[in-house]
Parts: sequence; C-alpha cells; structure tokens
Amino acid sequence: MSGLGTAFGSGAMTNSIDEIDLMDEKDAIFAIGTNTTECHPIIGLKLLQAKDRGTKLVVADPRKTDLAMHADVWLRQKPGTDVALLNAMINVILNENLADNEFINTRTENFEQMKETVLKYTPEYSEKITKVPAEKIREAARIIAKSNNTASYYTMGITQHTTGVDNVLSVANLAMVTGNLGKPKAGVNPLRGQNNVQGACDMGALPNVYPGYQAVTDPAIKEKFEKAWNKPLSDKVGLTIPSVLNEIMKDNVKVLYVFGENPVRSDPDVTHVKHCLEHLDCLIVQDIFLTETAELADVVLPGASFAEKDGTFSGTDRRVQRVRKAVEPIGNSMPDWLILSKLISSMGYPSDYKSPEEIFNEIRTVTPSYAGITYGRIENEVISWPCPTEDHKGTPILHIGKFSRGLGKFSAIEHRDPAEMPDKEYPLMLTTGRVVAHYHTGTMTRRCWGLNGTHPEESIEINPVDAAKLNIEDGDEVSVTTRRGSLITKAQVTTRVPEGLTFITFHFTENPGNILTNSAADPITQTPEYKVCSVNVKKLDFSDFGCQKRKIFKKETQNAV
Amino acid sequence: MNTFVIANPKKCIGCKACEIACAVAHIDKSVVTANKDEIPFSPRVNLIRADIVTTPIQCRQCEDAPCANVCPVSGIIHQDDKIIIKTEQCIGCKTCILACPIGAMNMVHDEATLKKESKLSDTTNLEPMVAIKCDLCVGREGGPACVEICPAEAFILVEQKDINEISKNKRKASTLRTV
Repeated sequence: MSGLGTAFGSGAMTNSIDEIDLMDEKDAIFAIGTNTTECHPIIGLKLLQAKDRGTKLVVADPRKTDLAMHADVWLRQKPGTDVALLNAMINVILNENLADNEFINTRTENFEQMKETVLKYTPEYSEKITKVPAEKIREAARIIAKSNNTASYYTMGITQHTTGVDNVLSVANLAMVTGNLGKPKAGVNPLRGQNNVQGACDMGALPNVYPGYQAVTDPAIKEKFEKAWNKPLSDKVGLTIPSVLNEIMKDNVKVLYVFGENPVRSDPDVTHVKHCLEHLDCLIVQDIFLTETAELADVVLPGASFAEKDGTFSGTDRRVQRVRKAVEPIGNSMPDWLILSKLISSMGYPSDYKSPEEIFNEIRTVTPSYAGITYGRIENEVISWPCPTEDHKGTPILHIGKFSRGLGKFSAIEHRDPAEMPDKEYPLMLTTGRVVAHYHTGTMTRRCWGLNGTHPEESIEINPVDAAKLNIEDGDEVSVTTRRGSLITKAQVTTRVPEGLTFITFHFTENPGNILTNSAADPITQTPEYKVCSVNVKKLDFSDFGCQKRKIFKKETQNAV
Repeated sequence: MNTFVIANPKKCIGCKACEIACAVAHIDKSVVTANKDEIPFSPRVNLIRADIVTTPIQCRQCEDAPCANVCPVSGIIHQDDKIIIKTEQCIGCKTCILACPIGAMNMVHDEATLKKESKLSDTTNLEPMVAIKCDLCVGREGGPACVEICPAEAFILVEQKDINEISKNKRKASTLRTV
C-alpha cells in the first residue's frame, strides 16, 4: 500500500477482479510473489481460465507453485531479488524500444532517474543476482510489453521483505513503462489476504490515517473529525505492531486490545511476541475462538463470526459488499461493533447505535470515498470506492486519465540483500507461506473436519539435493532451527523448492512457523521479512531426546486445538 | 463398458474441494458434528502434487479390474457398470492395494467396521481397516460429489455413450485429413 501510494497516490488495487474474465490471447498476466491458486483459489481459477482462452501467463516465484507449472514463462528468482529481476525486465523493454513512450511522457514523472539506475541491470547482470536465465528475463519482458494489456498481480511474496516497498515500486515502474494503468485488463493489483483487510484499512485501522486514508497529521482533517466526534484528537501518528511491541518493553504501552488477530502465532519471532505480551499490565483479546493470544489475556471478549452478524466487508478490489446475519451468536458472544459500542459507553462516551447500518451511515458522513454507498444500493449494485455521491456508479478502475496524485511517479531502486542470508551455522534459506487448506494460524480451519482432514499436519519442503546431503528422506522427522527458535516437523522432499531453499507454513500450533521467522522489517511499512531467513535443518534422532516418537502429532493435538 | 470419473490436470487448481466433497458424501452423520463424533476423514479421490503436475487421482473402474481379480473373499464385484467393494466382506488383506496400478485404493477405519465384532478386538486395541475406492457416489442425489463441487469443472463423468461420441467426432475429424 505504501509503495503504490508513493507511485500512484493510492495504495489500493487499481483494477477489478472481474476484468480477468474479459482477457484473451492479446492480453497478458504477470503474477509475481503470489501463489494464487493456493491462496486466492477463485482468482487463481480465473487466471487459469484466462490462460485457457489464450492469455499469456508470466509467473515469478522461487517455488514451483501450481501457477508456475501452468505458466507460459516461469521466472524462478532467488528470494529477495525481485528488484533486480524487475529492473532487468524494464532494461529489456527500454533497450528493445518496447516502452509506451506516450504514456511515459504524458502521464509520469521522474523517468530519467529511474532509467539511469535501470541501465546497469542488464539481463546478464541480473542473472547473477536472481539466478534467472537472461533469456527468460527477455522472454518475459517482451510478453509483458507487447501485449495489448498486461495486468500485474502480487501478494506477500514481494511485500514481506525488508525491501517490500522497493519491490512494489518496481512493479509499479514496470506497469508505467508499459502504459498498463488506467485501463481495463491491466493495472497493478495487490491481492489482499483477509476478506476484510481492505475494509479495515479503509476504516483507518492504520496508525497514520482516519477512515478513507485521511491523514491524522492534517489540521483540517483533525478539525473535521473533532467536530464529528465531539472530542479533542491527537495529531500524532500512532504505532505499528512492531513498534507496539517495542514500546511495551519500554513500559510506554501498558494495555493492549487485540481483536481478530493472533500475534502469538502470526507475528514473526513469536518467542519475542509472547515475552512482550506477558509484560503488559493488561491484555484484552476479542476473538471467536480461544487462540494462543487469547490464552495469555487478562480479559477475553467473545466475538461473533461472519454468519452471526450484519455489516459490510470491503474486498481487495475496493468492492463494498454486505455480510448478512444467518444465525444468532452463540452463548454471550456479540458482534464486534456491539462489544466496542458497549465498551465506549462504559468509558463515558455516548454510544448508542441501533444497527451496523447506522454506523455505516455515520462513516459515510466523514469518508468521502464511501459517501455515495448505502446498504440499499449495494443490495443490487456492485460498487467499488471511491464513490462520492449516491448517483455515482463507483470506480472499478483507478487512475483513468490521471493518477490519484496527478502524474505517476517512477522510483529509482537498487537491489538490496535480505537482512539474514544463509551462512555456515544456518546454511539453508527458509521462506514461509500458506497452503490451500488452511487460513493463517488455523484457528478456524484446524477446527474444520474437511479442511483439516485434507492437510492435518505440517511439513517442511526441502529439495532432494539438500535432503540427500543431510541424509533426510521424504517423511523423516526433522528439527528446524533458526536464530530465533526451533521446531520439529516432517520433511517433504520435493522439487517444488529449488536447491538451497526450504518452505514451511505458519498454520500449525504444534510446529509454529513463526517461531523461526525474522522480525527484521521494511523500514517504511514495518512489514516483517517473513519470506527470507536462514535455517538449519537436521534429521531428528529421537535418542537425542529420550522421548517417544510421533506421540505429539497424534489425536491429543486435535483435541487441544 | 464401465462408467468412470476422471479429472483434467490442465484445469485443476489443487484446492482439494473434491477430497472434502467426497469424504462428506460418504459419511452418514452430519459434517457439522464430524469432528466431535471423531469420524475419520476418508476421501476416495486423492489430490496429488507431483513434480510436473497437480491432479486428483481416483479409481478408473477398470474393465478387467485387478482388484476384483485378486480379492481372496470375492468382495470386489462388477455391478451396474461399476466396480464395487462390498465393504462388509473386506478382511483388510490389502492385496487390492498392491494389485491396483493407479493407486486408487485407500485403507481406512470404516464406521461400519468399527461396530463389527471381531475376535481380534479381544487381543488388540487396533481397529480393523477396510479398503475403499471411488464408487461413483452410487445412491447420491446429484451423482458424483467431485464432479458437482469442483470450482474449475475439472472432473468429467465418462459413460459408454460419451466414449462413443468422442470417438465418433475424432473419426470424422480424421477423415478430413485423408481427403
């Protein structure tokens, strides 16, 4: 979001999901850092259907994901080398005169600075960094530049790096150089990972903005909200999650209210996270199940699931959709809005909403991009924000004619290595991600008979060459250790990972992937580098521990979840 | 000719909805309480991620089924254009697993078997397992669950008439090449 904010003036997905269905053999899809069929199956399905109709599919991913197996061109870059790869693709496009000069001249700025940096990144130069053959880089670049429309899709594969913002800026550079913005079947499209993370951001759950991305530091905005809410407000930017943890240890944050998040499993370096949360004076957790974080809480507030409440969810392509209550909340659990409302009232601030719709209508009065959306309209209409008035049709495609910030801004980006690279002690690289069956920390999916049934236990992907060197066979128990911590799991010997790379998820309580990950983060967004750290994998010899084989993975664990 | 279900790897997105739909279609209790009731998750179709392809694998309902040929208790029979395992007869000898070239057989704890009385349960805590495989969802309204659920429409139900149609069309196309 930060990268796109800088380049275009708006952080959200520029186009809409249903445009994929209109793509044909004259168009192309560039998917980088997204295991789409696994993590966004319906969008992944649309990508494959487009390919079936002749659309070219270019995929950049270190792992041989299903999407990579279907690709016309698969770029297998080393994790943490996306900038070098993207710069080389731009280098090819400029050298072979495939750039959209009209777009560059009329709709962008800072092109010369970007061009100068990119000159160095010939395919041969980038091959040394990325390990992607120069010819493949050329092939991919030509497809992306020559297609009528190329839509780029990305997710955590490029953002969860210390160079996350740089990676996104480079994807934006590539889209601008080829004129793939402000028109259908194109754009730069980050696919959000939670059903309503876009909505959460839209509502100002970020520490620097109010709803609608209005800056907390802007005096006029501050005054507007002070009037609307009848309370003096701070003009300081708040804390991101990593900063919160630091401030807890400095005793500046004494109370933490966590809702719908399980940081003890989803944050990097979870040993450190647990330590910080235990340091708090008071931890309040609001969730639909007793998560590992909730287990540490002083107060647990039971929330309600999607089926038990009314409201709206805002999807990745800025579409605002209704969620409708189908069953009553169980026991004394309540919808989140009601819990918050009661909490606010008991703190002495009048809060007397009769329904989520009432809240939504209040949101519309202070949030220009939502102002034209009503519950009534979205019963029948598909509306993507910005939608400033009730007769406005919404905005499926951003930056038509001009960018949100006016001109699109090129950025000159150099390659930087990830924070922690393999060394003698930790000779393999570890990257983390998801599998189709599970959602994040498994709070919901590991309780699902069907989903958990298809994928009941963790394993670490390791390349056959690396496995052979370590005398590890498929299915062997292994210990996986990083500087932060260690876990035991089964080895899955597969060519899906290249030599030197291993892969694990963060879905399993018994083998929590984030006990291994590095909290080093992008300096601007503070997004942690989940995608790269160094690891040591060893075949497990249970005689080392004197404990019984496999007992911890059996039924006891299922009941514990 | 036997009817069978087969999946198209070009369309498969590896989501495993087929495994879940299959497992759900073969339990007689509700999936909502399946965890609490400790019902085993036993699909008859298996999503396989191999080196160059991801695709579901399931029984091909062979004409001269090796499994039927080797079963020592004659528990695998040909019926209604399908190869059916008579689970109540299965002694769990596992010969069918060895005989099947596709890998279509699974050994599972079967709910019915759990209720079955066996002299063996006097001497061991082990619960008997039986062989299961794709049975084309015989008796299920709507037919095979995998065909119904797959979001990519990767599965097809192939009957004798479908083979006839496919062959007819291919032959017609071939004639054009001879002119």
